[in-house]
Amino acid sequence: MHFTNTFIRLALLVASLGILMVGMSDKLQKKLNDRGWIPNQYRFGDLYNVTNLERFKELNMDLEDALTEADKPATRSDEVDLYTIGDSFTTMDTGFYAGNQNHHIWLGLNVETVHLNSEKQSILVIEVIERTIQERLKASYRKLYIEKGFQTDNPGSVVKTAKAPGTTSFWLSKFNDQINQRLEFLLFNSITFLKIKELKAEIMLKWFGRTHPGAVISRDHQFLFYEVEANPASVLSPFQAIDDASIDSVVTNMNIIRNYYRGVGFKEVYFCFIPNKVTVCEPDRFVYNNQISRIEMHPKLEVPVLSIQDTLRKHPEWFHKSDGHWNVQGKRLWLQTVNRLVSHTN
Amino acid sequence: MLFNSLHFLFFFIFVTTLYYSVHGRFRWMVLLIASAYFYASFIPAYLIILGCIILIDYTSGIWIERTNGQMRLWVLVASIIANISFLAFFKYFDFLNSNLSLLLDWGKANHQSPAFNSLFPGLVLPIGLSFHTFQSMSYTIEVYRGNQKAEYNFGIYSLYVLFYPQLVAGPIERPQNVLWQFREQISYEWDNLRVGLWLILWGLFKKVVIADRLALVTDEVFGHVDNQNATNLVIAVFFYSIQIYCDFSGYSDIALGTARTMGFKLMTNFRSPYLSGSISEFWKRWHISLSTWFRDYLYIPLGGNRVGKVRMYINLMFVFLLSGLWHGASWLFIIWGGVHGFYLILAHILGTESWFTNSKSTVFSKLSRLLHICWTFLLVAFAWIFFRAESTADAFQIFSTIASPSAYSVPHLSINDTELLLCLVLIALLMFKDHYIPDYVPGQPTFWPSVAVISLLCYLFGMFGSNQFIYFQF
Repeated sequence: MHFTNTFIRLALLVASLGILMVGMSDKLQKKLNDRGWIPNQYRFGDLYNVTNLERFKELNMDLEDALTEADKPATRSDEVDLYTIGDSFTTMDTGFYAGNQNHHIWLGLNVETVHLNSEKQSILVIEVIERTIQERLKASYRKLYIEKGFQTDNPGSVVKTAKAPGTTSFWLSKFNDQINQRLEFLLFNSITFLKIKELKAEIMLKWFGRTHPGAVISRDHQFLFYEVEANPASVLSPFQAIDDASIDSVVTNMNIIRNYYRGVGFKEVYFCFIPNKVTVCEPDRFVYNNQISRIEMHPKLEVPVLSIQDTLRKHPEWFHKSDGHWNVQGKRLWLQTVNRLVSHTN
Repeated sequence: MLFNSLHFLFFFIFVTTLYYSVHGRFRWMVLLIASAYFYASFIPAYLIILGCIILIDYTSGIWIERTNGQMRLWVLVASIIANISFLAFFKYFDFLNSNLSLLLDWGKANHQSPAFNSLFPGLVLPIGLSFHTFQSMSYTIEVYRGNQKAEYNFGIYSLYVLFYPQLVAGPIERPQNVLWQFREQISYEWDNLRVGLWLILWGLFKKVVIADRLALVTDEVFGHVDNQNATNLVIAVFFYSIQIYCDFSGYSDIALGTARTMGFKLMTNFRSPYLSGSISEFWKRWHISLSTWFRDYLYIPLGGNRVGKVRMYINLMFVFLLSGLWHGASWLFIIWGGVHGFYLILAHILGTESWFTNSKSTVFSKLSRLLHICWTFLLVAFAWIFFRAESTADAFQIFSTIASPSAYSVPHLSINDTELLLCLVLIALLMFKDHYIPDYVPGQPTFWPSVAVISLLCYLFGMFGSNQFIYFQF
């Protein structure tokens, strides 16, 4: 009996401490993830991860998402170096881009100091998802695109080291505020627990007509959207009215970004706006603010825009069923658009 | 770290197991470190602020014990002033500032008094400050009264204030009930674990299944008073009355249960308050640790019931206004306290104090008790409007809409009929338990199956997110 008690105590101590340690450490969790000990929580889509609705579970998410060798450009440009700034919508693998040299950074996360080759034409393409236009190009444009973004070390240009992300004092910041999320991923992400989560989600939907507050189902029950996108009360929603002054401000800042990069040696800067999933799959959900069109057709806009919205709006199936992102078809549209630009710049 | 989080679950398992695994001499240290971690997990700076309060009252306690005569009183007064100053500075600065500005007629000159955040940008209002300053003050007062010896072990005194189960939302303990328990060599007993785990689980059920579900309605209605018809408002007021009870008593149950698993017995904070037959009975059943604090340390020293009627009424009103202010820096809380003070004074004047309790148990007395319970609930629910409304204007709009017969129509709530029905069933279940089996804890062999069933229900029907407990803000 004594031995059993001691064993139980030791087991509880070791297990709870181990779980707490992994919950506290992002690095430790990543290591376990890399070794395959913890399944990837987004393997069935980020919106499924929020809602756990089985009807929106994509079992072949990887296949629907993966670019193949066939998507790589057959020929590469001799004259153009391509620089791209994107986010989770655009591939980080530079092998898919058609420039002579290709550099891609994830906005805000990566900063790269580059040497522009004066014998080549350096062009920069900036991808922006619709819901972040106001956030990225109004208030934070300087921090995101000028203080970060690409830095050049060419003679005559000011070499800037990227500023570390603003940190709050340890004493005043919320301690380990991601721990619950990490514990959830660590412990309750297996197939068995997902079944229980699906049962809960189904009860909530069937009995109470609700989903997780982070997501919304389209009226025809075919699509799932992030709540911040679909709820007109959200500042990120394309259904929230945007005044002309805000559009003007975005356009002015886009011109400033363009002038900055041209000033440091880029031949041209292009913007490419990706419409939100909700405005592609259920555009009449509420009154659409038409932000992308208002920017693209703004009389004071000096920056060339790679417009993909008309094509994308014809293909709601190019978005994942269980995810807020586009699938491999959307990624191809982006690559074709950018690579076509490279070949035309030749 | 919220009680309704995974972080707390594993923290609790680790600390409780470790507590029983180390030698008795070191247990208070385990609890102290765990409590400091628990509090720092909200914002680490809170620990520094709380450390100052601990240091002041620890020193004051020893000083009071070692001093004689008038000096004892001065030390007590100084420590109380220091505690209240902390509270006033962090919690009431903006409230005092804006009201003083208005009083001094700066408003006419369009004077904008600077807010706390702009004057002290780095400082934060510590979570649960009102709870631990009151608990800390009760220590110095009891040492002064001679009911408690001064604690010389700084670690154990710190644990008295920091003890994690009751640190951020009570119960507000008395030193003579808790301090000695930290020195006890408590051995593991199955009964403590059984009662503790059941309290935790039932508290969690009340919080995540009932309170947070009712919040779906109350948050929507109280947040948009303009768009509501009278039926919506009546339902929301009723639901809020239950929500705040389940939220706060759920927290208290988890606190008591957590402490109990380690063998500590904390004071009961709620005793089926909505089964009270009068307002005075309600206050003997609702937030008992706070109401007895005000009774013991303010109402009785002011004269209690031994003074003349007018003086007693003034004291009563003063205590309830202060109790309202304790809850938050807002006129709405003060009005809420004032309404309860008014109820009690009126009941005293009309002499309607629980007359039925002396009656024999007849059908009439039972019916009359039921009517009193319903009437008391209505009065309490009426007062909650001030507690929950987002502004005084909103509160008065709610009253005027409810009072207008033409404003009643079919309710349009943010939940569907099935969920509304579930809410009503849950409320009935709650009242049934409160009335018939308030202290029920399953024994063997049904304990573990019951734990499994309630856990599953908590998961399947619980609302999990970042829902804080309402009383954390105080």
